Amino acid sequence: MAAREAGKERGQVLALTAVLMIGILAAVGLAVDAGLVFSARRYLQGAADAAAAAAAQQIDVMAYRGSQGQVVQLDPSLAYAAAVARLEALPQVESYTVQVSAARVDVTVRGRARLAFLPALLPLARTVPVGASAWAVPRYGIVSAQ
Amino acid sequence: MWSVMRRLVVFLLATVVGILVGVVGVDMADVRQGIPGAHANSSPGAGWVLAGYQNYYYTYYVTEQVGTTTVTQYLYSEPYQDRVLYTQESRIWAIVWRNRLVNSYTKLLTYRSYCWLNPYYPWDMQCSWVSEYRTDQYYQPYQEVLYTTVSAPYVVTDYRPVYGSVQVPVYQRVQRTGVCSVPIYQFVGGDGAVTFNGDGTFTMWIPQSSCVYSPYINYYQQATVQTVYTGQSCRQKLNVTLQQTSSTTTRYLDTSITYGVQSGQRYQCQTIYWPTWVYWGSRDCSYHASWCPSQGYWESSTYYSGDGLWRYDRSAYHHPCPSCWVSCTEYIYYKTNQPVTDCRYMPYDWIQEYRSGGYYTDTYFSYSFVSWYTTQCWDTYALAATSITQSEWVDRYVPSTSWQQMTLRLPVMPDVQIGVNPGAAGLTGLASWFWVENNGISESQGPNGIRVRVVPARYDWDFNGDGVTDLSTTSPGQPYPIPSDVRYTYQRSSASQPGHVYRVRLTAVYDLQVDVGQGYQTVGQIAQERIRLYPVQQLQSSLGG
Repeated sequence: MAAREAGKERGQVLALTAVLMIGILAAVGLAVDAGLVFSARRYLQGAADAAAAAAAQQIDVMAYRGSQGQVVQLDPSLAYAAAVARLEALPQVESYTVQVSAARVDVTVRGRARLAFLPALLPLARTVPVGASAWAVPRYGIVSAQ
Repeated sequence: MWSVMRRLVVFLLATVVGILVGVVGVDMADVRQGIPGAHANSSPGAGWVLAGYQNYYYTYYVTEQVGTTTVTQYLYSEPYQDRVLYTQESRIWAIVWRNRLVNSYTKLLTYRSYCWLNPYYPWDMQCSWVSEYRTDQYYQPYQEVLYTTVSAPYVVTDYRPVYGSVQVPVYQRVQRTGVCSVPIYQFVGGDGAVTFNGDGTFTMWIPQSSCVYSPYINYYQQATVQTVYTGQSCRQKLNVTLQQTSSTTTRYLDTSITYGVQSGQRYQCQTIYWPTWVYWGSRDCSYHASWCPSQGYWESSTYYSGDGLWRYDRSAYHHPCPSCWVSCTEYIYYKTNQPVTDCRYMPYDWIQEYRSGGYYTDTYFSYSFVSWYTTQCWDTYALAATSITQSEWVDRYVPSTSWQQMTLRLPVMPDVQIGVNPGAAGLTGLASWFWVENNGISESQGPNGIRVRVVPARYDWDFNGDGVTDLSTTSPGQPYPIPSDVRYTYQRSSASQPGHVYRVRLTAVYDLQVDVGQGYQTVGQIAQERIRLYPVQQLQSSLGG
């Protein structure tokens, strides 16, 4: 009798294993695609930081000399050119926005992250848009930056 | 009456002038006679000058200016050797004016062309054209100088002093009087020449000049030249023969060149491909007649193929009745192009160049001059001279120099300061501009008209304060906003320096100059030092977002 009951449950392990494998594959794919998105965003964040830092180094020399070294402000044209030169050299940056004032530089960059597993389920979702922004201000001093 | 008086006045004036001229002439003759062997001609400059000759020996004299007295020395010598040298020189023979082509312009006046079809091949077009040009040429006269070479002899005579045991006396009489002149001061430079006393004064050695009376005995000799005895003399003559040669060169000079179109005929040959029927084959034919002629007759016909390349010549005989039939022979030809050479005189046009001008002849002469060359061979002879030695005391003042120490006061030194931009704080990577403020020359007056001054000589800059001169320049730099040529770019901030500032050190070196009446002369150097505390900051970027 027991043998006959046991014979009724034969094949259930195979079905359960198939269901679990699908779940595991979905979880792994989601994790990999999320990692790609975070990696792309981290890259864009570095690009924005580098551009903002480079722009914040371009001070107005005429104003600095005219104030005998007491006025430190940015040269907008030089700062913009320095930021753009950094961003144009990166092919992963699709678009950017650089705003320069006398005391601050704001940089916003945008790009796309390429997915690996999600396109298998959704063929149209090959990339997703990602972006990053940064700002920088010039700081100066002798012992420690003010 | 007036005319008689006027003539009388003129006569008197002429008489007075004649007397004066005669007196002067006598004086000049006395001058010539008074100096034995000398000639009374003047000579520019000093040195030995050939003055003339007398009694077959030559006399030289040299003059020397000693103070206000002219010292004249005489020396006698004789001709030693005569040589004949030849010189080659170029002389202008003629100056002629000629024309030379400066520029030429050619332009096309007319261009005419006509074409015709080959009579044998209508599709073959043949053309001929005629162009007419005009050429304008511009000439410019120029001056040509013709030279000829001349070879001329000239006699060179070498002289030597009189030989023998007889001393040639030198007549010299020197008189020196007057006051001595003050020599130019020459300061002794170097270490120890000037001593700075530390109280705003310095001590230096200056020369004191004075004149010292120092008479001396002047010995001089007065010589008398005796008669010169000469022996037999011989003469040689050299006759230089005139040689003149000439050469001519004929040249052609273009004055104008024109062009014209000329027409003529030229024997030309051309190959014409003549159409020819070439026998290709025959065809025999016999037909039965469709009707019956009463008597036989011949019928000939020629017809061509549709493309025109085949020709058929057919001759047929129609037999009469009762045996009516047609026998014929057909000759077939094919049309080919056989080359045929056609030679004939064809019209031909060409551009003819016409030149006009003329020939001229250049003649070059070369010749030598006729010259006589005379030499004299001398026998030995003797000179006798007596000299009288005399002496006299001559007053003389000679300059004397003694050195004395003198202490003078230094002028107030310029209060130089260090100027810098950016002044409040420098920036790493940005060149700081430096200059010297309150820079200039300071002067003071000493005793006895002595003047003392200090003049900037150079500037030594130590920008880091480490005691090492980073820049040494003679330029004081330029104040802001002029970009100064004294600049330094800090690579590190002054955070690691004592007090967080750089100690910029300027050492201004001045020349100490003294004027004791002969102009300023540098006797030493003075240095002045200034230090300015200069903070240098750095620039960083602070990120956010």
